[in-house]
Amino acid sequence: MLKLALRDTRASALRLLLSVVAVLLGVSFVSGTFSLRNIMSSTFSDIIDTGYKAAAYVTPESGTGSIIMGTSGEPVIPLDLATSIGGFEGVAAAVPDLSGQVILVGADGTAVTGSGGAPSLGFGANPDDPTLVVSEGEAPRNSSEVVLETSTAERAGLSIGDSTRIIANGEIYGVTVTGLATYSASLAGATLVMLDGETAEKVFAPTGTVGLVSVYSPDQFTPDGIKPLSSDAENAFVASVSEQLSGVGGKNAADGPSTPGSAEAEKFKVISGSQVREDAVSQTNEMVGFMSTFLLIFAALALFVGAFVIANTFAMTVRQKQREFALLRAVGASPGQVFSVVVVQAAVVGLIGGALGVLGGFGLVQGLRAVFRSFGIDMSGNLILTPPIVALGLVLGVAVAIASAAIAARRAALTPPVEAMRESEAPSLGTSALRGVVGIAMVGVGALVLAFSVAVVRSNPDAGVGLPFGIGAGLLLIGALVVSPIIAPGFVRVLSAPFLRATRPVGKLASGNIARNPKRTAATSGALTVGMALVAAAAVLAASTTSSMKSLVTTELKADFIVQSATFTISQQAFEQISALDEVGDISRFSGGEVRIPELTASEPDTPASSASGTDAKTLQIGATEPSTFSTTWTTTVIEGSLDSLARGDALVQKSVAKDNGWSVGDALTLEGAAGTTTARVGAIFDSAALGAPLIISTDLLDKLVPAQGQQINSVMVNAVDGVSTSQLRTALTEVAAPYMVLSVMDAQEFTSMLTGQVNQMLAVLYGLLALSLIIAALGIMNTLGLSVVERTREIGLLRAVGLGRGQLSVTFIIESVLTALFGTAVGLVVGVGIAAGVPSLLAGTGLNTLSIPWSALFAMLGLAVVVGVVAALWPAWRASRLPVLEAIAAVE
Amino acid sequence: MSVQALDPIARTTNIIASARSLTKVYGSSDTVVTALDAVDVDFERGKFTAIMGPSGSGKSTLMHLLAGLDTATSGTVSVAGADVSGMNQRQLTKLRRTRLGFVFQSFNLIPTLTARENITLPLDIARVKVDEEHFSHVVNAVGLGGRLHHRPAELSGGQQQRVACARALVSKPDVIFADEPTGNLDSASGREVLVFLRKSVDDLGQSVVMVTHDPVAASYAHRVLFLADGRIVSELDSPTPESVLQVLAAISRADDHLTGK
Repeated sequence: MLKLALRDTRASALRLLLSVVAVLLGVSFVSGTFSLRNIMSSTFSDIIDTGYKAAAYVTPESGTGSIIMGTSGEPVIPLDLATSIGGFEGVAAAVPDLSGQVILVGADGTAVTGSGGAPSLGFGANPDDPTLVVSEGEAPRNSSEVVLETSTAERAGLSIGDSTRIIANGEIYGVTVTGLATYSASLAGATLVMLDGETAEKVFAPTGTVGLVSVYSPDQFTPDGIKPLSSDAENAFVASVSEQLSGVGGKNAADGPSTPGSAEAEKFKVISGSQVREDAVSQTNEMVGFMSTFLLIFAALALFVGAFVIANTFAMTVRQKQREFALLRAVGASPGQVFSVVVVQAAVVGLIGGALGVLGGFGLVQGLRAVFRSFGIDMSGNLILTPPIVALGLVLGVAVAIASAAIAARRAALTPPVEAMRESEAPSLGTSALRGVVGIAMVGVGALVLAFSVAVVRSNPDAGVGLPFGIGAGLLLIGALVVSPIIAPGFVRVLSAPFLRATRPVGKLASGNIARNPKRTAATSGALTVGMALVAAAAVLAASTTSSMKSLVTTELKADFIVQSATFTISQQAFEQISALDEVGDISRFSGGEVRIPELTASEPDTPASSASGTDAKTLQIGATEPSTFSTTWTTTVIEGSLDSLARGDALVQKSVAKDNGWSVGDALTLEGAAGTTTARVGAIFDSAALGAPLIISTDLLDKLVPAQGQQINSVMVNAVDGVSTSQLRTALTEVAAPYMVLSVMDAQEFTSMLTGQVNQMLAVLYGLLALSLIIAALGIMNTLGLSVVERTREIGLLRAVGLGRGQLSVTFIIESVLTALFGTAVGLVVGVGIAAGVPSLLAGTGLNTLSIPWSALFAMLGLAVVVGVVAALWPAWRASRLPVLEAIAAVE
Repeated sequence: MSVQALDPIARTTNIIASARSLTKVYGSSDTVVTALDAVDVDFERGKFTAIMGPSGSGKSTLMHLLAGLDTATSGTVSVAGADVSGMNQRQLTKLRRTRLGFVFQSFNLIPTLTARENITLPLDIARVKVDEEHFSHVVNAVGLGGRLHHRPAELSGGQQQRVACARALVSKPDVIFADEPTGNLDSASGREVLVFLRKSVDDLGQSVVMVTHDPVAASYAHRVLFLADGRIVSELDSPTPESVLQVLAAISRADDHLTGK
C-alpha cells in the first residue's frame, strides 16, 4: 500500500506541485524566523561577550539597567570610588562606564546613522579599558579630539586628521579625528565614537557619578587577550572586591562583609561578570523572542492559508480518483488502508515542502544577512541550520499537510466499493443545511460577542475585554468561512449578472462552474478571505489612528511650530538659542524629569523609568512646562479645575492617572526629586492623548525637584512674535536647528504627517508580511483552476467540439478566477472592516477615538483581487486552451 | 432451478453462494423502485454461472448484494457458508480480501501499478506473501508472461481484462464475481477472457458468477439465470448462444404481452 501511495504521489506530482509550494512558503517563513532568531541571539551574545569582559561589575543596588538597550543603572557610583576600586588589592583595573548617545556628523554633513536603529554611542577613552583599543593614531586628549571605531569611520567617510562635529548631550563640539580604534566584536551597525576622558565625564557623568564600573582581575590578561576567569576564581574575585568595597564605603565595616556597611556602600553591589553577561544575553533573547513571535504570527497565517490550498488539492484529487479507491476497497482494502494511501501522499507533500522550506528559510536569512551587510551591519552568528530547526520545518510541513488532507482522506476511505462498478460520474456535492446553521450561528455569536465587548468598554473604559473581543473576531471570521459556500452561488450570480450579457456565452459557463461546486469555490477563495480580512482590518485601524492623530494635533497644538529631536532630547543650549531668536514670541517647552510620588498607588504599566532602571513603582517620569505661555501654545481638555493653577505651583494630572489613584482637584501630592522635595496640590485634571505625561508641573517647580542634568526637554513650542510671518520664523528656527542634525521644525501639518508617517510605516510592514498570505491564496486559485482543467477535460473537449474558441475558453477561466477572487476578497473585507470597526471603542483610552474607513484602500483591494484573479487564471487557461479537442473528448480517467 | 438443499451451512454442500427472499428497494415513498423482489437463488461450487436480463432487470443489483458491495433491504445472502447480510463493514472488507475476487467492466486496474503489482494487489493489501508457484500458474494461464512489468496504459483492453482476471484468481477466492467483463472488449479479446474464465472453473475448480447482456458471453457458462423486473424468470443449463437468445426472446414477448403491446 505504501508503494501504491508513493507511486500515486509521483504520478500526480504536477497536481501536488502547488501544494508543495504552499508548504514551502509557510515553512520557509517559520524556519527563516527561527534561523534569524538564532543569528541575532548569537550576534548579540558575541557583542556582549566582547563588550563585557570584566570579571566583576559594581552596580547600584537598585538594578543594573538594560545593558543592551544602553541604559545603565541609576548613576550613583562616584567616579572617585571607581578610582579607589582600581587601587584595590588584586584588581588590575576599574573602568567607570562613561558612555552615552552622541551624534557623529559624517564627511557629507549628515548624521552617521546605524541602520535598523543601531545605537550611536560615545565612550570615554580609558587606557585601562580593554574593550575598545586605539589601533592607529592618537587617543583623544581634549574636547576637540575624537577617535572613531574603524567601521564607523568608514561609514562616516572620515579619516585621521579630518574635522567634523559631534553632538553629545545636545551640545555641539567641533572635533578632529586623531585616531582609529578597533572593537573586537561585530557591532551590528552601531556607531562608536571615543571621547577624551575629561569630556566624557562632563558629558556622560555630569553629576560625577556613573551607573556601572567594570572591574578586571590581573589573571584575565593573557597573551591571547582578555579571558574570563573560571567560575571559582570569579566568585573569589567578586567576594574580594565586595569586601574591600564595604571597607571603603563604611567606617564601621571592619567586622566583615556580612555587616551592613554605611548607607553609601549599601547602594552598590558587586556582580560577577558571568552573571552580567548571562543577564544581558537573556535580555537580548527576550527582545529577539518578541520580534520572532511577531513574525511567527504571520508565518502561522501563511501556513493556515496554505492549508486551504492543500485541502482543496486533495479534495479534488480524491474526487478524481474515487473509482481507484473504490477498486481498492473492492479487492479488499480496508477504509484505514485507503485513508493511509491519501495520508502518505500528504506526508510526502509535507516532507518535500518542509525540506524545501527549510532550505528556503536558510536562503531567506542568508539574503537578509547580505542586505544587512550592505548596510554595514555584520551578523556574525553562523549557526543557522540547527537540527531542531530542520526537524521543526519537516514536522511542521508534514503535520500541516496531513491535517489539511485529512478530510479528503476520510472521504476517500469512505468510498463505497460499489462505486467501482458505476459507469457514471459521482454526483457533485451540495452544501448541507447544517453548515448554514452552524456558520450563521458562528457569525451571529461572533458579532454579538464583539458588540458586547464594545458595549462593555463604552460603559466602563477600563474593563479588560481583549480576550472576548479576540474570540468574537475569530468566530466571525471562521463563521464567515463556514457559511461562504452557501452564499457563494448567490454572490456570484449577482456579481456576474452585468457580465453575462457582454460575455455570452462564456460568462454563463464561468459562473456556472463556480456555482456548481460552492464548497470548492469557498475553500479556494477562503485563503484570500483570511488574508484580506486582516489587510482590511489593518487598513481601517491605520486610517482610524491617522485621523485620530490628526484631530488630536489640530485640536491640541496651538503654536506655529513645534521642535522635536530624533533622539527625544533637545539640549538646553538649543533651547536657549531658540529662545534668543528675535522672531520668537511665545515659547514653551515640555521637559521631563523623574520624580517619586509616595501617594501613587496604581503604577503606570509601561513607563520605561520604572521598568528599565529598576527604580520603584512610585517613580514617574513627569512633565513640566512654562505656565505663562502654555495656554498660547497648547490647548487641552480640562475635566476639572483650571490650567492657570500651574502658575501657583499646582500639578495638572492626566485623567486616567487621577482616576487610577483616586485623586481629585485639591488633593496634596508629595513630589520627591533628586534635588528636593515639595508638596503640590492637584490644580486640574486634564484629558489629553497628545500629551503623554501623567502629571505636569511648572518648569520652575521641576527645577527645584530635579537637577538640570536630570531633565530632558522633549518638545519646544514656538509662536512668531507680532509682525513676523511664520515663514520668517521657520527660516530662523531651521537655521538654529540645522547644526544639531536631529532637530526638526514642524508646523501642525508636518507634525501630524510625522506622527502618521510612523503609522504608515507600520502598515507597510504589515502589508509586506500579509503579502505572503495573498500570494499563497493566489496560488490556491491557480491550483483549483489547474486541477479543474484535468477534471473537466471531457467537458472542455465537448465545448471546443461544438465551436468554443480557444480565446473564449481562456476567458471562461479568467472570469471564473476573477469572480472567485472577488468573492473571497469581498467576504474578507466585510469581516475585516466589521472587526476593525469595534477596535476604536476598545482602544478609546489610548486616543484612538475616530473610526475612519479607507474606502479608496478597500476599493484598491478589490482591484487587486481582479488582478490576482487574472494572473492566477493565466496558466490554467493556457493549459485548457491547448488541450487537443478529440483526445479531450475521448479522455477516460 | 435445480433443487438444492436449503442448508444454511452451504460449505458442506455444493452451494458456494445463495440468496433467500433477497429484496432491494431504491428511493423512498412515491419514487420507489424495486430492483430485486424476494429472490431465492443458489450458485453451485465449481460452476460458471451467468446472470442475464434486460437493463433494469436487477442483475447488477443481485451481484452487488451477493458480493457484499451493497446492503439489501431485506432477505439474506450467504457466501461460502458465511452470512454476508449480517456482516459489518470490517467483516465485509475481510470477506472481499480473502474469499472473493472481482472483475469489472472497466477501470479494473490501478494506473500507477504494473501488471504484476496489480495482480498481487489483494495479497499486498492483506499483507500475505505471494505464492510464486500459484502466481506463475495463473499468469501462464492468462498468457501474460511477457507483459508483467508494463503499466495498464501500455496494455490492450483484452490484456487489461486478463490482468484483472489474474488478480481475481491469485488470492484463490471462493468465488469470483465478474460484472460485464467483456463489455468494453472486441469480440476476439472478449473470447480470450471468457475462455480463460471457463478454464479456471474447469481446470482450477473455481466458482464464477458473471453478469452479462451478451448471449455469446453467457454461452460460456455452465448455467444461465434470467432476471426480469427483479425476479428470476428462467434458467438454462449448458447454454448455447441460440438457446439463450430464444429464452430472451420469450421473456421479451411475455413482457410485451403484459404491457399490452
